[in-house]
Amino acid sequence: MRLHTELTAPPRALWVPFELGRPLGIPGDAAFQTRVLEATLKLLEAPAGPILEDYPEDAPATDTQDEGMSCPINFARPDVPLEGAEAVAANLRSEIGRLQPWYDRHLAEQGRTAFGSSTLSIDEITESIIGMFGDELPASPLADLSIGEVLRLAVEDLKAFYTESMLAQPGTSPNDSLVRWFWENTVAGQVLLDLKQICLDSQNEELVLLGNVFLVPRSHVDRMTGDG
Amino acid sequence: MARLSEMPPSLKSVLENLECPRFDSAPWVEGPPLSERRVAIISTAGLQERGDRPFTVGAADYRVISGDTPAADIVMSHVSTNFDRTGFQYDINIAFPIDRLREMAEQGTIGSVARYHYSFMGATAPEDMAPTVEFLAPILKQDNVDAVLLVPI
Repeated sequence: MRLHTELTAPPRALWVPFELGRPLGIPGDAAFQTRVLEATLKLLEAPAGPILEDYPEDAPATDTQDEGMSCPINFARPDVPLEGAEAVAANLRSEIGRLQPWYDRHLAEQGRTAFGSSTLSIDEITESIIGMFGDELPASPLADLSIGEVLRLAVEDLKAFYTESMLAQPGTSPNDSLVRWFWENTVAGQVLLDLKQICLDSQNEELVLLGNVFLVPRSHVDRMTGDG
Repeated sequence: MARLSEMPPSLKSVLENLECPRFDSAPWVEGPPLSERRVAIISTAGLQERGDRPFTVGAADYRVISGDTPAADIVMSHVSTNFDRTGFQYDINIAFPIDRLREMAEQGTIGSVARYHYSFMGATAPEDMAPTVEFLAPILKQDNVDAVLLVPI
């Protein structure tokens, strides 16, 4: 944020116009990233400061909301919230099962996955989330993390699994349409919206915080409430 | 999109009102030419080596990322849901430009790449992280680092 850099006034700073989460500009574009890095490191040779430079080259917008959804898969998400743990479990497991071959393909082709910060498998992640739809709060599956921390990491891993499954398919690229697709078109997106409400309704302070802040992006909440 | 004017409304409001540390002094040091510098990355993306402890809410600690850790073994446990992760899922260099630095070292643009890099989780108040940064500074010196690339997320 340029505003924050102006206030803190570090010795050398390059402001970049790119989307949050993409400080180097364009994923997969080594030449573009190198230009950003060169502009940054060049500031080390400046004779006096503090310096706040604006990087002149923009990255293409990733918000494709005006172009409609480009993702080829229609999951036929139920129109009504899934009632009860069994319906959630069956629908979520089935959807993940259909994506698994594409996730495996992405991993084989890229040799890398962002999935794994929770250390749980996709099956264990699914069970942790489904467990929240039962009558009692489930125990944490990891000894050194609370159920709230496990859920937060598990949800990020779940989203990485979905994104990477889509990235392996023809015609997709890492952009905002994948995020919108996840929240608007998948069972998992609906399950997480329901999970948010379960957390908010719980008596557990950590889960209330999770539901308030750490499950659903503000951009999607704004879209749902008509502010986005 | 790192323009306030393009942020989702609720996020824009949070960012506009975010309290930022102010400093009374403006330290300035110069060093050798870029082609002789040894560069380390300090990221605030909540990165960790696979299997290392994930960051938790309010974490002010750090993780060490070895310069020879394969990209496949670096994951992210930042607490915020309000930045794009699809770019990172596609290409780690979008937030942790380790391959780009290696290329620049091979081409002689920079001197070398540090042995160790570091990650914080940037949703924590900066003043809570300050003591840790002071702890890390001499370790960077031991690694002969004389340029640090601070990469926010």
